[in-house]
Amino acid sequence: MKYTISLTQNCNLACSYCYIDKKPDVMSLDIALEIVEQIFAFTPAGEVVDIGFFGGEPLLHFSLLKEIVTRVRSHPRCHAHPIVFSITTNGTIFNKEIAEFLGENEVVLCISCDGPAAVHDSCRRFADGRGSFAAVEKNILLARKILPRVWVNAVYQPQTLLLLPGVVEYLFSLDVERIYLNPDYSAPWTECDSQALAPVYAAIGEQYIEKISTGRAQYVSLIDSKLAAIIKDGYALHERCRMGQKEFAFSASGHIYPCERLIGAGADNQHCIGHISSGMTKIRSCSKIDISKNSNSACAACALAQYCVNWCGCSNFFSTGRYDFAGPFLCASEKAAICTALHVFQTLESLFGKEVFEKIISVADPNPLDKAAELY
Amino acid sequence: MLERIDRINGGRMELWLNIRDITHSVVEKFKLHPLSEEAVATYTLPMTGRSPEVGEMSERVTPQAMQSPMAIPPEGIRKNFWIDPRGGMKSPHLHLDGKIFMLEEEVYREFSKQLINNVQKRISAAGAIQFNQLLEVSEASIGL
Repeated sequence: MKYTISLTQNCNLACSYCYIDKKPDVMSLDIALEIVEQIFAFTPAGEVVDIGFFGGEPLLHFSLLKEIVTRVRSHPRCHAHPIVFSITTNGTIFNKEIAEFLGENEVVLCISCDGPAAVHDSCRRFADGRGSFAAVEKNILLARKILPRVWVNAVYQPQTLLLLPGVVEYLFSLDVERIYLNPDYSAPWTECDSQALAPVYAAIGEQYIEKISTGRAQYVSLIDSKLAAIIKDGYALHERCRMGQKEFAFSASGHIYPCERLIGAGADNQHCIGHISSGMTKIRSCSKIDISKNSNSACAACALAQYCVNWCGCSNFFSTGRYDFAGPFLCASEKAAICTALHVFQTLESLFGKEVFEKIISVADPNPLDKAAELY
Repeated sequence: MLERIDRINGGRMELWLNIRDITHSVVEKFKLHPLSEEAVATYTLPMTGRSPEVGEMSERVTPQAMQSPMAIPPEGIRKNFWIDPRGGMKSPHLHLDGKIFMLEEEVYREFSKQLINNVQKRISAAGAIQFNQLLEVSEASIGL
């Protein structure tokens, strides 16, 4: 079960593409403790409890985060579950104390960094207009010194798409364990952009091949998730979006949502499915969510459907306004990524023979955040 | 025992169900023999641990751990190691009907050829969502 706790919707950055409806509210300790209780009551024994901290900027309230982690670790039912913690942060609020706490408590750190200064600072700025790159880079390097696992999440938009190979090159240089490349699905992507995807992704594929060939493999979501899908001939059911069924997000006020990206998105709190005070067992069913299929008729007939993430409800919502209806950019992006991954697989196979499995698996281990790759 | 190993190392069935036809044809064509349960148990089975590329190798799952009905790591291990739900067998192998078959180079080539052909055919036959469909979607969404 995946649970995301949004400690606050407040943030010290004012990123141009942010979809969060910023509010100064901070989660109270009472709400946080009730969420912890409900998580353990709701999760079947033996099942993984995957808790992610999100925002706004969660490290604005580090003491609350510490309290929650401590309460989870000391909960009487803690030993009945493997526990996975993670935090997604903008990387501007960080220090040795935070790093050591995350390390001691096995909290996977994922920092948002869109690439080198020119790319990153074009969107990710403080409220006063200053770019955040310098602070973020310094903190990624600090985190790398202290933590064994540092992941980076980079968002790209139409205006930065062509710069993506340079972004990957920069992120490789940071030597982080994992690089997640995420398109901003809400951006006004055009057909022209979609035609540029194949060469851009292919260039990243070549960078990936070079990296893995020289023995410095790093996980790149764009490539590794599709390599996994190809080898498995598709995504398994448990890897697909389970929003509102096995994935829940809690806002600072204790409202429950089917996905963290839907907190505060849309009009009139339209995605809210309940409140923690009523209990997890009384959440409203997501009547508009059917994760078993995509309603777009083009998807139903597509031969690549099983390798595609057209089931990602929040991505679909931000592209088309519907959880169950994939848009044209996602379609073009997925096809380009699958073609790139196939080329990468064939090239690595020509280099390593059957050992390609080991090369790929050493990088593409399962990700507790997106469940993209459960290879072995 | 294999069921216990699955519970310790995470799901296995989903991984291979989709390529059952390819797996079956390769096993039949090369008349492969499955690994014995004893041989399977000798492989490294990381239940928790840091990934090899960041240094510390996994804790090994002991026979006692595999006997545990819940396969929950002891507190000491959980406290000191990252959870790593990967399975343990990193060498190329196939699963079919609860059995495990190791892949020699020649067998792997055949398996891989079929796998790649399958994906290539799908890419050739892939459809596409057109950008002008967005308008249609927006209109459809109004009724929801």
